[in-house]
Amino acid sequence: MARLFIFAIGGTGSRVLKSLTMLFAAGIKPSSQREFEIVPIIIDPHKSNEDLKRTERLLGNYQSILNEVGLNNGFFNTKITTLDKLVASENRISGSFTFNLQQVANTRFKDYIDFNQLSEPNKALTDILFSGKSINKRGEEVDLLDIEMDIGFVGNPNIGSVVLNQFKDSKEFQEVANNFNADDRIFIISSIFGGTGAAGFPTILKNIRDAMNNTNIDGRGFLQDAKIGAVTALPYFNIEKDIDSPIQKSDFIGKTKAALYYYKDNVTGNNSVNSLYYIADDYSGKPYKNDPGDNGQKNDAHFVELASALAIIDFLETPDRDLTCVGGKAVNPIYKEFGIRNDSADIKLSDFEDNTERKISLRLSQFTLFRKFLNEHASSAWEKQPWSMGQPELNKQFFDDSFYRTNVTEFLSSFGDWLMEMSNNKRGFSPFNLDSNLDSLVKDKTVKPGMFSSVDYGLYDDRLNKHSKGKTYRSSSQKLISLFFKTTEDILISKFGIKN
Amino acid sequence: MKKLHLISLLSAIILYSCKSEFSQFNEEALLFANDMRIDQKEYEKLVEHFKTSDEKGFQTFKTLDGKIDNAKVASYLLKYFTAKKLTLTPADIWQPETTIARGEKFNINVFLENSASIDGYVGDNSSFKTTIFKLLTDLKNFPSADSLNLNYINTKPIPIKVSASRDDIDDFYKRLNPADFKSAGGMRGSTDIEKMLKLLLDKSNERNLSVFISDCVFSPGDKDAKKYLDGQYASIYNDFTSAKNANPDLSIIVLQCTARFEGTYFDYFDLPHQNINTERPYYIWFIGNSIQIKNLVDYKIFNLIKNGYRNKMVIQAIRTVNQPNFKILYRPRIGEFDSKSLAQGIISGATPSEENQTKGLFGFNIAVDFSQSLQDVNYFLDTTNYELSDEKYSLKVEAITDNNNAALTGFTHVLKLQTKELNDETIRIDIVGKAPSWVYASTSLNDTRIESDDSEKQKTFGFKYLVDGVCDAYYPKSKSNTVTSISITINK
Amino acid sequence: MKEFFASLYEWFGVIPLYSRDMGDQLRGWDITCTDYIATPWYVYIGWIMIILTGFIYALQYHIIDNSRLNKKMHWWLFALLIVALNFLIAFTIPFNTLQASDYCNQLNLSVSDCIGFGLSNAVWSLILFVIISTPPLIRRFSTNCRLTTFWKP
Repeated sequence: MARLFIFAIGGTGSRVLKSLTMLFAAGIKPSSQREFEIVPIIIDPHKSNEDLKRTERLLGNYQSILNEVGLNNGFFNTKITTLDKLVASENRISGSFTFNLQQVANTRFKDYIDFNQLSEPNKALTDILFSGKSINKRGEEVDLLDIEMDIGFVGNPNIGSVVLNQFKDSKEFQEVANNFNADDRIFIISSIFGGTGAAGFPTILKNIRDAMNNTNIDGRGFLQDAKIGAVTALPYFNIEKDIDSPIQKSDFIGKTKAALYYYKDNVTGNNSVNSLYYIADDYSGKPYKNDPGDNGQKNDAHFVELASALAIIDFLETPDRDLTCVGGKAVNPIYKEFGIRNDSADIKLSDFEDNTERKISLRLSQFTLFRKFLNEHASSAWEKQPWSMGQPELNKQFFDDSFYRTNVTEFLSSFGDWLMEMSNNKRGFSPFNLDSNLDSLVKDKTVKPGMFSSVDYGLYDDRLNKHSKGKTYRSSSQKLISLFFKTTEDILISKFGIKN
Repeated sequence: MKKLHLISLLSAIILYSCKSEFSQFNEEALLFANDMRIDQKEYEKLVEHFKTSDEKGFQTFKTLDGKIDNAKVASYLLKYFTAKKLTLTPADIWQPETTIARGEKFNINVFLENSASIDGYVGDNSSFKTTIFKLLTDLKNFPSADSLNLNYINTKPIPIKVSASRDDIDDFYKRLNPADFKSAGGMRGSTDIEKMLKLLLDKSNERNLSVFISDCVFSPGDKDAKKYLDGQYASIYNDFTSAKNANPDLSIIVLQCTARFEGTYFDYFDLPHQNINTERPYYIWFIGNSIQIKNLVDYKIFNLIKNGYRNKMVIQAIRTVNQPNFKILYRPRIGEFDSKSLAQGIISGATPSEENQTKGLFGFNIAVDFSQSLQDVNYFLDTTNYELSDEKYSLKVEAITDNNNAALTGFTHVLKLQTKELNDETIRIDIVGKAPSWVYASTSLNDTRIESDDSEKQKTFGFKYLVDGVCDAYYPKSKSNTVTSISITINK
Repeated sequence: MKEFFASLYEWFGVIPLYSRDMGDQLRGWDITCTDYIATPWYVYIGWIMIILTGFIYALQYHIIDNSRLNKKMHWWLFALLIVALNFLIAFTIPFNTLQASDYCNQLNLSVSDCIGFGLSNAVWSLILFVIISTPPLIRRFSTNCRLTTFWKP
């Protein structure tokens, strides 16, 4: 199976990766001939970044579920793997999704670059390059050179680019490079206005395209001409004003401009990327909490992240011939933007253009319906309905077991939070009435009532019973996923009128 | 919804077609009976129902060889209508003409004894005269009668009128008095009954029926009474045996009537008893072949007798044993039995009674239709006329009087059988031919005290000798003489 | 067939719920007390019982086939309907005959006989319902009630 290596850089990278995971969990797949196995690599020195933690946990649950039930069950229909599973090597790469940035914990930048060992002229140069002040994690104002880097580069891509250069020497990069096949692709997620992302994107891009010159890697040929896509997120959220924080909104635009200039020469200008996706939103809405990093940087999910995830899907749908490279350069680079039909402050399914709607409406609604049933009705149905009592049983024991209680429940809970955060955000994405009656679940879709029956849990059970009749399943867990996929699809198409 | 409609349609079809032909027959019969009549068209339509049907219920209407027994059909219909509270009578149900050969017409020769002993019957107040008058009129109107010939008789027949007309009958009636009797002639002083009967026997053939009217009193006179009577008995016996041998089909019906007797009665010594004024019996004999007799019976001539008759005796040669229509009754019963095959005359699953009052006994009733028999209804009430194949059963008989009981409609008598020993067996109930008991009750052996003895007044001297003579010729005591028989099978 | 139904309703002679006279009446002992030529009620009521029970089974399991009516409680509800209807039918038919005196006058029939027969029919209908719904043979074609029996869910 071909692989897609996703480098998710910084906070935005984690959040987009999370959205992508949700989409894959809902069963959304690129409509391409080839199947891709996803290998996410998160690059963020900010270990305590809550977004990072959340995404890691989410990916862990996704993997557990997929390992338990297998592919072709509708939901969780794309393989996501950690790098170590991919490669059979003696190098002990950790079985996590995160790239381990060395020497950033509790280290000042000054010490990282061995400032004190530099010659006087270099010291002077360094002072100029890295002039300016910043605020450290204790809220004290410090010189830029004295920043402790374990909270990321706090909006200073100049620092970030230096540190992230170690990437090319890392074991992870070696593994990726040594095992990269002609069919494989790469995607890089970053924000342009942050610290880690802005620095990391071009750095990693350079390291990949420059593979020929990297003596640490064997088989550099494929990597150099790899099909690379990237999404770069321009400003899309507002943060609270806080004079004590090194992060200021007013800096966003300036930094974006600066980064774009750099990209002009090193990303777009030299055809490094085969397919570049830009996304931005000029909505100056509800501000996030101004947290540089130590308290967790936990930003609410935003619709833009979901749209960015769609870029990855689009990239996978792009045929090979459109992504050819020669000599490390993209032959015909593609540049794309994302749009919706209606400029509404609260996006619903009908606000999407046709392609988007067709891609995600049904599956997302299915996953929501799936979650709703398990939250609200499962306990009154198990061991009472044929879909539960038939072999293999979905009985109380199953629902008490760790597969359901931990993996599935946590995943769905995260999904619920994700939807909630997006709906509360501005611009918001709230296509569902999560707490309403079943028949008003999807906004702007009215339900077709039957002759004797309304759209309620009775109907849901009825469809579950119908779809489980006469079917065999490998295991209870597989039955859970597969049956609910089929049933939710049936209900949404026949009763809510959502098209496939 | 479609499933619902289909199912209800199917069940309706099934239920409707399940209706048996018999119940359809019943329903149509009820419909036709609304106008209180079943006419020919309706009757034939009803018969269509089962002409070709195999249904079990219809078997009761057919004879053993599958032909339709119209009498049974009519009988069942009557019962059914009674049960449904419709009062139809047999006359309301059309019946096809009986196919009994009517035979040719025949002459009726009436012989009225005109000896002196008859004088007492023909007084002015006598009902005897009016009865005879009506009888002659009815005989004249009888369709099978060719000519009606009127005669007196004592030692020899005295023709009075051949092919009598209405006026002749009138005249004959007027001459029913002692004076005209005397002037008619003959030996009026004595009565030789045997001789008279012999004369009549000679005259009876397929073209001639004899009617004999007499008081049938023997007059030994000065001879030894016992010897005389025995002698009469023997002669009569001979006469009838010969007559029967010559004409095996010969049948005799004797009616006992009563009328006022006013005058002199001569006892067996031939001594006169003056001023006797009392009701006394006299007898009307019909001697002919079975078809002639049957025609008379069909015409119901006996029912037309003015003032009716007291008793009747029928004597016929036994050709085949009659098997009347009967039914074992569901209740009353002593003990228990199944009704599975009751309709076929089989009692199955019989067990004796457990009740305190009837412990160990087993009993059941049978309703029988004796109406087809020529015999008198009372004949069947006399249990001495019955013979049971199993002596351990006791028999009682009752006539059926309740006309509103549907279960008993079409039957004339109920036989009640009971036993202490219940076994698997087939019981035969035979009704034998013999002289009925009323004959013995009406026999006098000493009529000298007729003035004072009231019972004597109702009796006829030596009558049983006369009757025995005839009966023994037809029902010899050496034979079983079963006239009618019913068989019941009993299984435990 | 008449004797088949008769032996069922009379419990093979072991548990008489009504008099033998009633048994004869139901076999079709006619109004003139002659023979079993009248309406064989045993057969008719027997078939009605079978068809009615089968229909109400089909109603719950296949026609209505609702996910809210598939618990054992609902099975018992439908059973109650079956039992009640069958009791009524088997009671009313002879009861009407009794009231109209439309039967052989030598039979001793009473209201308790009608009740007994009603009971017998009701019990058999329940047994039949159990027999039809217990083995998965027919109910497996149902969507929502395919695992519904009188003891679970």
